[in-house]
Amino acid sequence: MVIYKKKKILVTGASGFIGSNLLKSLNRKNFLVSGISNSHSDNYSIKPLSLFSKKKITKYLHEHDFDFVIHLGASVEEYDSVDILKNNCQTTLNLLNACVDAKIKNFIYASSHTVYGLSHYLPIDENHTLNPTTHYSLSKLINENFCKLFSKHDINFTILRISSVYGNGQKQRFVIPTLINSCILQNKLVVHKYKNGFQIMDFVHVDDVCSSIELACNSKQKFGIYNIASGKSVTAFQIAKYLKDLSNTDSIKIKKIQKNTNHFIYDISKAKRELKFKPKIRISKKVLKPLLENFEKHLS
Amino acid sequence: MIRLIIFDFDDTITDNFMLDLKSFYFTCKQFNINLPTKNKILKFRRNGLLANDISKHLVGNSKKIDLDSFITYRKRFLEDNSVKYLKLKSNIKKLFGFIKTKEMKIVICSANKHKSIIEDFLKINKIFHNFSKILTMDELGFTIDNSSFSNRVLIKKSLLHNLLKKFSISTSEMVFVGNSLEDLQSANYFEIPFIRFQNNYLPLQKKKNICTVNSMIELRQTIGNL
Repeated sequence: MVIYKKKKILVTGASGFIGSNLLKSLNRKNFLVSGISNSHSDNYSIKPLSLFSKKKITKYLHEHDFDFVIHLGASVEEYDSVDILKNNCQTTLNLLNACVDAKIKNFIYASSHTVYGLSHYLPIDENHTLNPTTHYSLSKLINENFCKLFSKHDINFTILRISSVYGNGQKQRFVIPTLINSCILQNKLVVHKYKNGFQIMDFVHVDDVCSSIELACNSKQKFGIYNIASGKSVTAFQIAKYLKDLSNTDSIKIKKIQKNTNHFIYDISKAKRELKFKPKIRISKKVLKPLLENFEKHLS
Repeated sequence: MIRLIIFDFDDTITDNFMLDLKSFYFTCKQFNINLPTKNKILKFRRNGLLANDISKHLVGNSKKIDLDSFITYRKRFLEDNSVKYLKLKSNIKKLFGFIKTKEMKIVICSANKHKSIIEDFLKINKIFHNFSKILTMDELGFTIDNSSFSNRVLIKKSLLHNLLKKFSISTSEMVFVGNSLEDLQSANYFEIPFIRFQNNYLPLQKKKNICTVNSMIELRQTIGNL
């Protein structure tokens, strides 16, 4: 009888939106998963451990002998500030140094689609110019470059440029939770119409993001960068129309914004080809219904 | 050697003036605005005014009329009546025949027309068989609601980018024939050689180092010399 050793995985930012969903998903898939988080979590399986402490994180990695480190941890403050840049880069650098020290073999970094900045063509592929426009997106790009720099060590790197994520448990300031929130609490749906029309966006469901991370664990590449998105376009207006049909909201109010917006859709053919990634969930009434119901349940 | 020619659709393959005129005429009629004359629209266009600027001018200071509704109505009119009022430019069939003898592929690239409209127009005019590919905003998820002028460069660049991925032809083996600044900008982005087709009812924009032609006969000669 052959006994396979379970793969040991560390997830940083485990109490965050993607992190908490990933933990559940990996636990179901027979991995030995540990989660750490800088912030407090009610989940007893998540260890509070700050990535600012290089010593502690190095000790922790040495003690656990992980096969994979999945780095999701990052500050996403509401107001863009230089602190985000400092925090996100310093913590990543500490983690990477600790990984070299502990001889970690595989590192998966959750980057962001925001590293591209203004789109020059659609769908945006991994060769598109990189022009981050916020401290947060700049921190993501710097961290990608740290990974590249550290790939000279014996670590395989997979960088996932994740598009706008949605799903259960997301904080309210993002597009879909904001629409759901106002739909239920205020019985109104307000969508922005820019000078160049409704913004074209590419939303990816958190379950698809989790599956892309699992697939990245099987990657044999020394260094790879992949867009993780649905590859399908949608506008806030279309989402509002779905929500209107699902709720008692009377109408959709269109708020005109006197500036142009940036449209984005991502080319996911590289992730499909090399990681075998295939997004399964596409925004529809059927997908939004449980999100709406969960929000109502939380209220009651 | 040139292996692929990319044509812009509106005002390059087609003569859009009648459609343009009718769209303003019927939209004004719908909103009870004084009907513009042919000369007035021609003057606006020759002065380089875009459709939204002309709409603003026609609506004027009327507080009763919502400019956005006017623009949207006109866009719907364009969608519904393009095939009816668009005209094929003279000598274009001969040009396509000539291009075929040179074994060059022909592609259409449009940032503001739906694929079905273009296909219908080409079929009615019996030139559909000439095209290897018809690239439109539909494949990017753009609709008439966000095919605004400021999106057109992005749409054109995206379509060209997808084309370059699909056809394994180097940009030096292609030519882009277009009439507008957005065509020029998109071609320049990918370093695709550009031929500007000058329209007789649009402002003459003389630009240095741009190959400009005024008729299909001239375009045929230029392509023949490539």
